[in-house]
Amino acid sequence: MSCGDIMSANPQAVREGDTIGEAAAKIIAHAYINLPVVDENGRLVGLFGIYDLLALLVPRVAVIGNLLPNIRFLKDDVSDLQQKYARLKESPVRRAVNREAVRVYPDTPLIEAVRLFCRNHMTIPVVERDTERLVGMISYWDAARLIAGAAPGDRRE
Amino acid sequence: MTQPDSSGTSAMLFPAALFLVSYAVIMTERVNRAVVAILAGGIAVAFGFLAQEEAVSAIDFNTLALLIGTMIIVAITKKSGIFGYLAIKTAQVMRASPAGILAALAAVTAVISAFLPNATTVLFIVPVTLVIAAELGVPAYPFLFAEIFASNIGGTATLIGDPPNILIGSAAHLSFDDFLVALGPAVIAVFAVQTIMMHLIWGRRLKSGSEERARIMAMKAQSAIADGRLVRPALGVIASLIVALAFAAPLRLEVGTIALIAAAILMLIDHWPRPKHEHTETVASAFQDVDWVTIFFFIGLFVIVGAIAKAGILDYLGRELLAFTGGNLRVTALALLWGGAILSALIDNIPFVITLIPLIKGIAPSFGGESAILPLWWALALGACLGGNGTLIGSAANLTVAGIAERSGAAISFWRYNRTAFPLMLLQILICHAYVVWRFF
Repeated sequence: MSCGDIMSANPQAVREGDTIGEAAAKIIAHAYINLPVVDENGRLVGLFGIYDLLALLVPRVAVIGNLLPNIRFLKDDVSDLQQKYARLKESPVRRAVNREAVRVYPDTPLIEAVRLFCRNHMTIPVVERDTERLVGMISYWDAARLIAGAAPGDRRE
Repeated sequence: MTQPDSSGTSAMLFPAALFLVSYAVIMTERVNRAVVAILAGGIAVAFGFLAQEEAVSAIDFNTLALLIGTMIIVAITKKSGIFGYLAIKTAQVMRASPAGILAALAAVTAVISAFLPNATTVLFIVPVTLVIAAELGVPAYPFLFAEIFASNIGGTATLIGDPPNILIGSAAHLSFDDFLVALGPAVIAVFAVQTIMMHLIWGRRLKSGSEERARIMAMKAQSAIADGRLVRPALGVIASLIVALAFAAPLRLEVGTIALIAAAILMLIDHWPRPKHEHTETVASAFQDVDWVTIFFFIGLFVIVGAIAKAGILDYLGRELLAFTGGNLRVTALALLWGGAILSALIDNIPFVITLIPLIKGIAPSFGGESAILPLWWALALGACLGGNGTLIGSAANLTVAGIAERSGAAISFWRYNRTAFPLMLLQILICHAYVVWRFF
């Protein structure tokens, strides 16, 4: 069994020139964990997901490594966060895309995908080996359903 | 293993080659510096440049103990969040004025750096600084620049502030008080000038709106405390450490012993109240925060330098230095000050300080003994510590700040930093030049 067997083909994606607001609308509407981001040729650029979106709203130093134990000291005001979002939602999604996101190929063994799910806690894009074009997405739900005996389908992400 | 030819030139040739090659590889930064140092030290022993026992004797365990002890103390103290609290309070005391915060955060960094390792001090201050700058809506760069300088300047003032001082203090048996009395005035003068320069270059142009400043004033500093239980014990242990270091001579204890005792006490306070099954994990976590790369780097370098000292290379270089300076103590001190500063800006100051220490000890008789060469130690300390300000790679603190800044989206350009930093460093060395001449000659 390989990743190509369990992937959802032709997944919803955004282009790197699309706005953060457009990507956020899709993420929120479909409760996506991640959306693949592609260039004009359909090649995978990276992922943009709910955590990338939320990370834009807090100081970056607070979400990298373990440099700040907390940011409880900041003024807690939802209108501040809304204003911050309003300011950045017209920016292109390329500004916030996670380019380090792990990717697999259609022939990558399922066991390797399971390992990657355990390590990365996110859905994984499937790309063509030679062209890096996006061909699908696999989620931990697909793997779990298959292993537990249920048929793949009814995907949430 | 084949013993090298014992004839004069050959006996010097192989250790010298090992020394030069290993230092050159360290400078390229292609291979981890600790690995290079340990490998070269191992080769020195394996090829008989110095015996196993001589290699162990060459390692300054007092320096290692002091470094490890202070690193453990910092590892536990950081869990309290006290440094974030201090930074926020400082910003609020300055009424959220960007220029005031620029100067005050630098002052706080300098004071903390005098008593804790520089690289760890900036690790605590810089993240909160980035948040404060973002809330003020001003660029973070001037603040980061000022904090790099402040950490290196503050670290120059004390025995434990910067690795070169730890090395010099341990080798020359200089006390905490000796450093404070000899270098304190110079550090105060250098920091005062640096503060003025920071204001002229950036501070006076930093402006923030009333809404942004209100956000700083609305910050809840108390909420930055992550583990209130640790605040008093950690500050108490640090204060006791400083007092004990000041009285190390009457206590008849080496500074390394004092630092390890203080670290053990703080680890005891940290893990004792926890459930028994967490004890080992808590202690292991403190040990994990020790910078073992630096510790093993030191160990390897001590052995390499032991090998070239045994081969007579340092005696030879010492004679050359004396010939260059005409055997004049003042000229030698100033050569160490300027040479140390320039080299420290360009390469890691630890290797060359470790190399220079036995060299300076070797030329002591030419000047009338160890007590006569104190100005040389002070000049070396000032040059090696402050020279680190000159370039972005000049000290561990600089690299730490650059690393955090880059990951936080506020990357510091190498050349942009060097363009401003190098002339400022030279100005500081000029001040130290005047100080050394006035104070010691």
